[in-house]
Amino acid sequence: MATPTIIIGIGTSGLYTLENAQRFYYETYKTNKPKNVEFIYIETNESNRPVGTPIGNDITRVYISLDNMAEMIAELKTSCNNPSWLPESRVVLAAGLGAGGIRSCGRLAMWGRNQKGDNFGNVINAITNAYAKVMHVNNNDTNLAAQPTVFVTGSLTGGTGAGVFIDMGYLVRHIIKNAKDIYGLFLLPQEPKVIRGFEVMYGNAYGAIKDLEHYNKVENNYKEKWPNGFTKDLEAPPYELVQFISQDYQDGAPAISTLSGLYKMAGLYLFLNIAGIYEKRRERLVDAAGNSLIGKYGTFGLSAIQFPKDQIQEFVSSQLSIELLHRLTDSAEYYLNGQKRPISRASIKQNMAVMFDGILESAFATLNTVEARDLLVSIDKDATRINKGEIKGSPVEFIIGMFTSTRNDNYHAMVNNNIKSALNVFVDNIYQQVDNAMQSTENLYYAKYVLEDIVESIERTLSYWKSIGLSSQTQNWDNELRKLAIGCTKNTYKSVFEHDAVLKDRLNTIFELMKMHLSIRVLIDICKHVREGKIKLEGSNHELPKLQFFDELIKKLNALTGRTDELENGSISFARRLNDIKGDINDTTLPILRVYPSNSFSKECEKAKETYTQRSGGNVRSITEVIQQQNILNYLKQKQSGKFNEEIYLDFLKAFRLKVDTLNCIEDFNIASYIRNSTEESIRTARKATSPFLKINRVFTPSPYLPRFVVGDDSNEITDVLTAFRNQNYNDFPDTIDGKKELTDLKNIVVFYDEKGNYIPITDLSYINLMKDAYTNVPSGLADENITSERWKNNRSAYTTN
Amino acid sequence: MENIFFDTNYTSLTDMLIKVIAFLLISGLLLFVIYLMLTKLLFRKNKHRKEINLRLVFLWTIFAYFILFNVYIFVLFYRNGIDSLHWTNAKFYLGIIVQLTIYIGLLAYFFIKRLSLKKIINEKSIN
Repeated sequence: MATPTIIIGIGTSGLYTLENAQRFYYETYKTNKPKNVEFIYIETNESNRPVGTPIGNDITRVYISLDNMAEMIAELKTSCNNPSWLPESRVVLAAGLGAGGIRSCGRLAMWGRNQKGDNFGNVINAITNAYAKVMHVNNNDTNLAAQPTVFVTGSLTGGTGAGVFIDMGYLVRHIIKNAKDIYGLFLLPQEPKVIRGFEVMYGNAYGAIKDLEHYNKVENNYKEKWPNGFTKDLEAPPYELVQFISQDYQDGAPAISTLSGLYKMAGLYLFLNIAGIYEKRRERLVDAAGNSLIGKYGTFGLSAIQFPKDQIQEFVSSQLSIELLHRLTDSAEYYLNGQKRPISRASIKQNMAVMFDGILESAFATLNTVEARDLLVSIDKDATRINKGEIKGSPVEFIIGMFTSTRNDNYHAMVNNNIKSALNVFVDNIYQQVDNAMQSTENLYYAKYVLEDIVESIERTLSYWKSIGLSSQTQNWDNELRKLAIGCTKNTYKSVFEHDAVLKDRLNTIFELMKMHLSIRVLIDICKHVREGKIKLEGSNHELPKLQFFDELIKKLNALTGRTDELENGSISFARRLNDIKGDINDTTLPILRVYPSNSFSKECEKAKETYTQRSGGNVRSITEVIQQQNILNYLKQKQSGKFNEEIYLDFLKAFRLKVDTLNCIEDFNIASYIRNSTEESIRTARKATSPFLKINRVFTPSPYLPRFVVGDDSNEITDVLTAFRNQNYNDFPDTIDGKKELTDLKNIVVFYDEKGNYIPITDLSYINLMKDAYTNVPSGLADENITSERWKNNRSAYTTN
Repeated sequence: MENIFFDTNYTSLTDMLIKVIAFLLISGLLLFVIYLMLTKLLFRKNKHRKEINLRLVFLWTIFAYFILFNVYIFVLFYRNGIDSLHWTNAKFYLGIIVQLTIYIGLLAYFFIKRLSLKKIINEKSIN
C-alpha cells in the first residue's frame, strides 16, 4: 500500500538531498517522483534554486525572505508575545547571506513577514497544498494509505536548518493532524580533525541537538504563540524518529570525502523510502519500538553495488554539450550542410557589402511613399510644372522649397516623418542577415562577423556620403541644396526636347541625396547600437543585435565549457561537472562499488558516445538537438535575460540526456550476476552497510527487530546474492522475507541497508564534547570584537530550552 | 567659290573665311540633327541619369559626325585626284585649312566633352 509522503528539505543541504532523491527516482522510474509524494524545499537564500532532471524539476521551492529583519522582529514582538528566542536587531543586520549561520535568524525567517511575503503563511500553504495533493492522488486508489508520512531533512550546521527544524516538526503536526509518522533526517558535521574555523558549524549542531533532546523529553512542552495566531502548548516531541547521519563511519573507515557524497547517501535513503522500503522499515520499527530498541534517535548504514548508468549518461551528455558549445564558439571554422569550412572574413566582408547595398535600396524605396502618395510621381509632376512655368517665383527658389529643411509641408518633412520606416527596414534586414548566418552556421563568431561587416559597410557608405558633401546637419543640407537647385536650371537640354526628363532626373537625384542626408543619423545610430551598445534600436519585430551580445555569449559559453576560467566560484560548468562526476566515480570513500561490463568508466562512456553518434546520424552536433526548431538567436536572447549559465547548462544537459536515454545508448547491467562472479569484493561492500554514518560511543548490536535488508530488482536474484554470500561465510544479511526487498524497476543497483537506533546523541556522539566546547566558548581571535560570550551562545541557540 | 566643298585651291583670305564659317555652320547643323536623332534613339528606356546619358549621346554624335566627315574627306581627295595633293606645298594647306580646322576641332571637342562627362560621373559626384 503506497503511503502519501511529503518530504521537506530545509536550507541548502535539504535542497541537495531532495535533488539527489529526485534524481535517483528519475534514474529508476523516468519520472521525478511518484504521485503520492511531494517535495518541498524551504530556503532563506534567494539565489538557491532546485536543479531538475532531464524532465524538469518537481521540488516546490518556498522562499522565506530575510529582508527587513529589524521590522520582522518588531512585528513578532507584538504579535507573538515577544518570544524570548528572538535575535537582537543589531545581530541580524550583520547576518549576511541566508540566515548567516545564526540559528535564531533561520527561525525568524520562517516566522517573519515582509514586503516579499508572509513567510510563515507561505510555509503553511506549501505544506497544506502538498498534503492535499498527496492525499488526493486518485480518489479511487484503494492502495493509498489514509495517513501521510512526512520526512524533514536538512543539515544542523547552518542557520536555516538548525533554526527551523523543531518548529517544522510541530508545524507539520499542526497542519497534518492525522500524520502517520513525522521523521527527521538531519546531517551532522563529521568528527572534526581541526575545529578551528568551524566553530559556528559545530556550535550550531550542538545547540540543535540540545534543543531537540529538550523537546524529546516528556516533561518539556513546546510553548509558542505562532504568527498565525495559534498558541501552542505541545507535549509530543517534534518527530517520531530523528535520524542523524554524518560523513563518518561508525567503524572508523575513512569518512565520505565530500559533502555531496553525504547528500547522495541521504538522497538514496529518501529515494528508497518513497520507492518502497518505507513500509518494510516501518513494520520493523514498530516492533523495535515495542522492544525499546530504537528510541527517538536513529541512524543507518547504506552501501550499494551499482552500474552508474546515470553518471555515464550525464558524463556523455556533458561531453556532447561541450562539443556543441565548441561548435557555437569556434572562431576559425564552421559547419555548413555537415561540411567543415574555414571562416573567411574576406568573403563575409564582400558578401555583406553587396547585401548592404540591397538593404539600402530597400530602405530608400520605403521612403518613396508617404501615406499612399508616390513621391516620385509627385516630383515628376513638379518638374513638368517648372518647365511649363506653372510655378510662382523662380525655379531655383521653387526647387529649394521642395527639399529644404526649413519647411514642414515639403518632401523633406514628409521623408523625415517617415524615417522610422527606413530604420525598420535597416534593422529588420540586418537582423535577418545575422539570424540567417546563425541559423545556417550555428556559429556565434560567423554571425558576429556578419554583423560587424555590415556595420563596416555602413561606415564606408557614410564616409562616401561625407566625401560628397553630405551630412546629417540641416544647415549643411540647405547649403548643398541651393547649389544643386542652381545646377538644375543650367544646361536644361531644351534644344533636344529633353528638358523635362533631365529636370525630373535632377530632382530625383536631389530627392535621393535628401534621403541620404536624412538617413545619416539613422545609420550612425545603428553603428553606435551595434558597436557600442549605447542606443537601443528596434525594428518591426526585433531589437538589433549588438557585437557586445555576441562577445558576452562567447565569453559565457567558453566559461561554461571550461575553455576559459572566468566563472564565479560555485558557478556551474560542464568542465567542472565532468570533474565532479569523475571525482564521484573514483571516490572510494563512498560506500558504493561501481561496476561496469567493460570494467572501466571511460570505456563505457566512449561506447555510449559511439552509439549516440551512430544512432543520432553523425558526429557533428547541432543545436537543433537541444532546441529543436526554435530560433537560435531568440533562444540565446531569452536565456541572456535569465540565469544564462545555469539555464543553458540545464537545457543542454537535459536535452542530451534525454536523447542518450531515448536512443538507448547505455544498456542495463545485471548487478546480481556481477556479485555472483565477484563475491568477495561484493561482501566487502555489503559489510560497509553494517557500519552506520555516525561515530557513536556505543556498540550497536544487531537485532532482528531493526530493519536490515538487501534491495534489488528481483527477489530471486537477491536470494542468489545472499546464497553466494553465505557460501563465503558472510551472514550479516539474512535470507529471510524481512531481509529482502524487491523493487522491480530498480535496475543497475543492489542496495544493502542497515538501520540502528537506541542512542542519545547529546551523550553518545563520539565528538560531542568538542561540539559543546564550540557551542559554549567564543573562539579566540575573532575579527569581530563585539561578539561576547553571551552573544556567541545566543547565536548558537534558537529555542528557549535552558 | 563655285565649289566650296570640293575645291582645295587657295584663292583668297575672304574666300577662306567664308568657307570656314560655312563649314562651321553646316557642321553645327549636322551635329545638331544627328544629336537630336540619337537622343530619340539611344537610352530611351533609361530614365535615370538622364543628363549623363545625354552627354554620352553627344559623344556618339561627334563620333558619328566624324565618320561622316572622314567619308567627305575621302570623296574630296578622290575627286581632286592624288596628284593635286601637294603635301610639301604650304599653299596647299591654306586650301584645305577649313577641313583641317573641322577635323582637329572635332577631335578636340570630343575629348573636351569626354573629360567633362568623366568629371560628372567620377567617384565624388552625386550623379
